[in-house]
Amino acid sequence: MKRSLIPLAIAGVLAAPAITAMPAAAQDYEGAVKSSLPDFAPAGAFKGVTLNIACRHLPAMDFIQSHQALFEQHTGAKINFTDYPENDLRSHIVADASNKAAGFQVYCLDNNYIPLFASNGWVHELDSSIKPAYKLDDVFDGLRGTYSWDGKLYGVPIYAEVTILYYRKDLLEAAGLAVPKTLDELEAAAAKLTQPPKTYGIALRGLRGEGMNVYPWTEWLRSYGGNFLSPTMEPVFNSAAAIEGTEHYSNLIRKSGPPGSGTWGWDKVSSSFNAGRVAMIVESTAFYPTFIDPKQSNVVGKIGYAVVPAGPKGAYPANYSIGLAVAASVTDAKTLDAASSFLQWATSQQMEFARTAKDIGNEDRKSVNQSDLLKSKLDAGYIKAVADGQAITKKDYRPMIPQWREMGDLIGEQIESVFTGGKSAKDALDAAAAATAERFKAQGVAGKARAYPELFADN
Amino acid sequence: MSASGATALATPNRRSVKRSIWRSPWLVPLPGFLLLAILTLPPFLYSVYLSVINIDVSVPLLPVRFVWLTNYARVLTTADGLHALMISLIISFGSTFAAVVMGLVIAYLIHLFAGRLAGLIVVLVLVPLAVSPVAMALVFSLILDPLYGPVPQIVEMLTGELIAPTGNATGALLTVMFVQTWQWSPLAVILLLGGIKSLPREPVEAAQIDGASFWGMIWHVHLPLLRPLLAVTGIFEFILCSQVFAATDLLTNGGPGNATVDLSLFIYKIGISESGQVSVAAAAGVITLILGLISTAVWLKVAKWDTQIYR
Repeated sequence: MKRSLIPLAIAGVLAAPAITAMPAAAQDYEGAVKSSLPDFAPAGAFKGVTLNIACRHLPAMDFIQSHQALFEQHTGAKINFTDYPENDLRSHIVADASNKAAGFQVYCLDNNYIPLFASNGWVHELDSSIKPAYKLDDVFDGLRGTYSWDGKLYGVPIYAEVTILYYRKDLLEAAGLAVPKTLDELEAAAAKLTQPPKTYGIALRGLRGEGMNVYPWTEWLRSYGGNFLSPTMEPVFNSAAAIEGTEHYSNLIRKSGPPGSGTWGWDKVSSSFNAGRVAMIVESTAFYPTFIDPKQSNVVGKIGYAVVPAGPKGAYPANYSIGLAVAASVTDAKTLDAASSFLQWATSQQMEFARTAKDIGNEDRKSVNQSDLLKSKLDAGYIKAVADGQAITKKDYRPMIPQWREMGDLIGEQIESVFTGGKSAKDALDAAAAATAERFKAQGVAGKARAYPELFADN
Repeated sequence: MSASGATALATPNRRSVKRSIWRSPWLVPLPGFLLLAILTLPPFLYSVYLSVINIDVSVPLLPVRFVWLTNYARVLTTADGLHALMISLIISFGSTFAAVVMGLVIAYLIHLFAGRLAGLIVVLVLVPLAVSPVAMALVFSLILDPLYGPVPQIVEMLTGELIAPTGNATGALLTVMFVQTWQWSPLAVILLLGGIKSLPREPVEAAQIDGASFWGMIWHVHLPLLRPLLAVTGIFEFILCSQVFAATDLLTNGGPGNATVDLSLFIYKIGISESGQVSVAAAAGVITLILGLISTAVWLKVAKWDTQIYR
């Protein structure tokens, strides 16, 4: 829970506009899910196969579970879902994979776990088994990239998010401000909109953690042209560009943020926006449903959406996703075929349309994002912000390496003390770099070749 | 017990009496000791074993080696380890001291002014003891929330400025200590109130006849008599106050930065939640245990309760 990027419990359910009922000639999305089955697996092909799936409760996951009988009847396979809480799931699948316990044939995992699982050979590559009916090209490009390791695909997404700029249309208009397109405009607007103690210009995550402050902070690092690691795995996230980006982020929190927001996680950032105390936030699309829900939000109808503002080196929305992968412990061809067929059917375009029709959201596919179905349900500005964000977000936003989580936590601890005024950006990043270098040495990766492409040219 | 008593009666020579007394107190609690040993010794010995090898689950396929005291050195010679140790000491001694003083003050207030309402007031004072530390940490994080919490709102009404008590390093540390004190001082209240009520009357009356002032009475008569009880209270409070986890994990998450990372949070973060250095965490755990033993010995020494009660 503590580590999670997003409150998934609230993330999935899109609040349906009250009046817009389904059009009279409603498309049969459920029927399409059923009739697409033969495209993924021949009837009766997997008799006697049992698939154990380690997963966690997500609205999209629950939707798949509610359809498992269709797959079982069509193919003869038996499917067991085992639901774990978020952090338990991670430790269970890591233990299952590293001990070769073969307790599960399918894992549900974060996309930033793909490097760890792929490099250890814990999951099967999927390229050879992807069927034309899956329409892989329809999945957002950057998102698809995050499921790849060394040029091969290892998983498929069931949930995806990017960060966007949420702003209060009414406050910006009253102050005569345009929607910020650059980080400098963002800073100026935030300063102007700060009228303590009633309203503050901006709230950003300050609380330490790879999934907390580091998640949006990386956006500033990238926007100012900062890399994480050199080609030989030396930390370079304490470069001049990184320091500049960190100072900009820190200034926003300290000058235009609510008091104490240097220690805030996503929960306080989103609830302060909901309460109308903050004019702008850069947050995950996961929060959209809570912002438009009159039960939770004071600012319904006053929110505008835009792609994240650009720094000197461009705009870099953060991304995060959860997907499914086939465990490497599956060795016989029939089970492997069953697992990969189920994976593709469960995350197919038809399935995604069907769950969108049931107001279970967070689209992974361009076709759903651009569909009339989605337009009938969501704010057009929001759909565009998601599409624009997904189009430009980078698969190597964060280093896709097995050591990422620990390294991210080391950075998060240090930069929180910058946001709370305890340390200078340089001291903090130097300390994080030294700690990371020490861990890399202990883990034997220092001096090895960097296994992912950095976003900017190495110095 | 009855058997050994009978032996003692039958042969009333000095040696056998001594032996039977020696024997019975060991035999009676033996099942309890055994159960405790079975439950606590294996994990303890295993963590000592873990602390001298090199388990690091974030490094796949790391060969297990004996590394002597490297992990202890990692905790005791690096900035973050020493910082955690210092924060542990500050939080546990600081909040223990505050809890005993608060307990003493409240006990005296009840003793002097509560009269017939004493019973009711004691029950009300005990409420924080019954609240789970996790709930306490979450309630305090709401109370102190700069945007919705009542405390910053009141301060803002008085001074016109919004404050965030946990937003800076000192404030966060003080807040954690305050929460610990708030939670555990009620125990000191009942222990000390009982002690005050049962003080022997003779020295008190003698002091009154000699014309002692109120403060003189408390300082020169009550407190010396309460000293053994104060020591016991201090030990209990120390055991409770040094077990801080909910407040540091949920209220401040060790922050800002690492300002409130004490040893237990350090162990959790480095061993489980943020890294996989299980052996370093085990070494820090053994250090915590040693620290606890030393602290208890110091408490006992300071108050000399053994000499006062048993001699």
